[in-house]
Amino acid sequence: MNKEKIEALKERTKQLLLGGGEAALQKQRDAGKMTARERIDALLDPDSFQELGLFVKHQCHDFGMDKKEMTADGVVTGIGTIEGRPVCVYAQDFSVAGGSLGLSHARKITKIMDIAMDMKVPCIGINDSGGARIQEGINALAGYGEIFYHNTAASGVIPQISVILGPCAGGAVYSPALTDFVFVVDKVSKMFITGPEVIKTVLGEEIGMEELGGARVHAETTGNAHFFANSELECFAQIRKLLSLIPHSNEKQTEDRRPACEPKAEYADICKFVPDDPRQPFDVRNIVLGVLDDSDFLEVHQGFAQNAVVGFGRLNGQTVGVIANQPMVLAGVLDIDSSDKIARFIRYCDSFNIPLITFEDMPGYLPGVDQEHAGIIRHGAKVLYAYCEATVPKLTVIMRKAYGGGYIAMCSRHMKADFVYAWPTAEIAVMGPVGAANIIFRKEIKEAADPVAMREQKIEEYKDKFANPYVAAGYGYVDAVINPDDTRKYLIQALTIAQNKHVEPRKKKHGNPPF
Amino acid sequence: MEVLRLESGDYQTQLTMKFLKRKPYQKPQNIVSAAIPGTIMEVLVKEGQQVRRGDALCILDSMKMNNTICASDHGVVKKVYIVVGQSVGKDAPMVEFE
Repeated sequence: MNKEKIEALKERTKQLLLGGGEAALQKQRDAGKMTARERIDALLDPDSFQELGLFVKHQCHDFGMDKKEMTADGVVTGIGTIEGRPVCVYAQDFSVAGGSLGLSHARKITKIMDIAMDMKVPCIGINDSGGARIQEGINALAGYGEIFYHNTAASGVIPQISVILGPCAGGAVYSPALTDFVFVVDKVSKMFITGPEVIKTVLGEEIGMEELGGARVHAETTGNAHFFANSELECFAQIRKLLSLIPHSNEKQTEDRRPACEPKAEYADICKFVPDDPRQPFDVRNIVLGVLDDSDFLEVHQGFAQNAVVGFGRLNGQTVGVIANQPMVLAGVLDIDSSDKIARFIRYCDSFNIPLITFEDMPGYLPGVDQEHAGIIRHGAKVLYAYCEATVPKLTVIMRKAYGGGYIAMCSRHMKADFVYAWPTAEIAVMGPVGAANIIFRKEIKEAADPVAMREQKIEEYKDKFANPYVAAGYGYVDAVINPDDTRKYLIQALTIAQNKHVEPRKKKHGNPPF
Repeated sequence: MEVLRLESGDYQTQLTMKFLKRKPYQKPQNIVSAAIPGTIMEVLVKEGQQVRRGDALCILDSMKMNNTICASDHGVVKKVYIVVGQSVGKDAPMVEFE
C-alpha cells in the first residue's frame, strides 16, 4: 500500500476536522458553547460516530466564493449510536462561515435524513447557524425548502429531534418546527422569524434577543420548545433519556420493552395526594408517578401550558404516553395552549404506536373573550380530532371532575376509548352542580320563599344524584368504578389485553384536522 | 394559591403568568389607527364626509409598500388626525368616525 497516500489522507482529514480553524473554534468555546464535533461526541456513545461528507465542497462561484473554502460546508453529518441503538445526526458548525446554510450544506442534511428514513432510525439535528448563506442566493432558499420537504416526509416515520444550540432565525426555524421534539438550552438558544433589529426598524418596538426568542420564552410562552435545559450536557442527557423511551421508528414497538418494576414507595399510596374537597388542588404528577414503573416520568412541554401534563413513562415495561389535567394550575382547564399541547402529543404517540393513558380532572374550558377570539373552538377541536383519530390503545381514568364538553374531550368512551375507569370520587355530569341546578330548578328557586336556601338545597340534590361515577357506569360509559389504589393494576391488565389491538383505518388520503 | 372562577364553581389553584397578563376586553373604538408605523402619503377623506365600508381613507407607506387603509364600516368621518408627509407610530390614531 502507498503509505504517502495514507499520510496525505490523515493530513487532509486533520485540517478539515478543525472546521473554521482553531481561532474560530476557541471563539465558540469562549462564548460558552461547545463546538459541533464536541456536541456530537457528547451526545453519542463514545467513539460511535462515523462522519460522512467531510470532503463536501460548496458549488457557489459568485462574489469571490470560488476562492473560499468552507470546511465540510459548515455542517457535520454522520451516523452513530445512543445506548447502542443507531441514529443519524447532523450538527451545524458555527465556526465555518457562521454555520450559514448553502445548497451543499442543505444537501448533506437531506442526505442524512434519507439514510435515517431508509434505515428507520431517529434523526437528530443540532442547529447553530446564522441563517441563509446570502452569496448563494436562492440556492440557499432551495436548500431550506428541500429540508422542509424531508422533515415532512419523515414525520410519523422516524422520530425527528431538533436541538437549538445557537441562533436559528428566519426560515431556518421551520425545520425544527416541523420536527417532533425541540430541545433548547438557557442563554444559548435563540429562535425567531424576524429579529430584534427588524422589529425595531419596522415597528419601533425595542426588545432583546433573549426576551424575544430565548430558550425560556420558547419553553414557557410560545410552546415551540418541548425540553428546556440549563446546559448543553444536560440537554444531551435529556435527548438520550427520550430516545430510551420512544420507539425508534413507526414499525417498532415491543422490542423496546424493559423489565417491569413497581413505583417507588413514596408514591405508592396515591390516595394521600388527593384532597377530600374537589375544589382543592393537587399535583397530578404525583398520581402519574404512583402508577408508572419506577415512578419514572419524562415530562414533555414541562414549562408550557402547565394546566395540562403530558409525557412518557413505562407501564409494566412498555412505553406509554400520559395525558393529565393538572388541577394545581388554572384548575386544570382546557384552553388554547393546553389543547395544542395535548393534541400534538396524542398525534405523536399514535404515529409511533405508543398507548395513551388519560388522567382526568376537568372542570371545563377557560372562559374569556381572549380565549374565544383567539380561537379556542378550532384549537380545542384538535384535541377531539387527535383522540378520535388515534387507534393505539386508549385508557382513561376519571379521577374527579368530568363535566360537559371537557368530559367528552378527555378520551371518553364516546371517542372510542378502549377502557374507561373512574374513581369513586369522580363527578361525571353534563355540567357542574351549580350551573345545572340554576337551569333545571330555575322556577323552584325563583318562586321559593328563600331562593338562596332553595338554590343550595337543589345544588346538593343534584350533587347527590348526578355528581358521581355511577350514572355514567350505569350507562356503560364507564367500565369499572375502581379503588384508586388499584389504578396501576387495572391499567396493566388493560394494556396487556390491548397488546394486539388493531384498527384498520378508513381508506382516505389523509384527514383534514383543524390545524 | 389563588381562586379561579369557572362556570362549574370556584377553584383553589395557581394562576399562570400568561393568564395574569391577558388584556381585559375593550370595546373597539371608532378610530382607525396605524397597525404598523409609516408615513402618510395621501389623505383621502375630510371631516364630515360620509364613507362606505371599503372606501379608502388614506395611503400609508410602510414595509416598502403603499398600503391603502380602508374603512371597516359605513360611517361619517368625525376627525382626521393625519396630514400628508406625517410619520405615524404604531397604534397612532388616523381617522375617527362618529
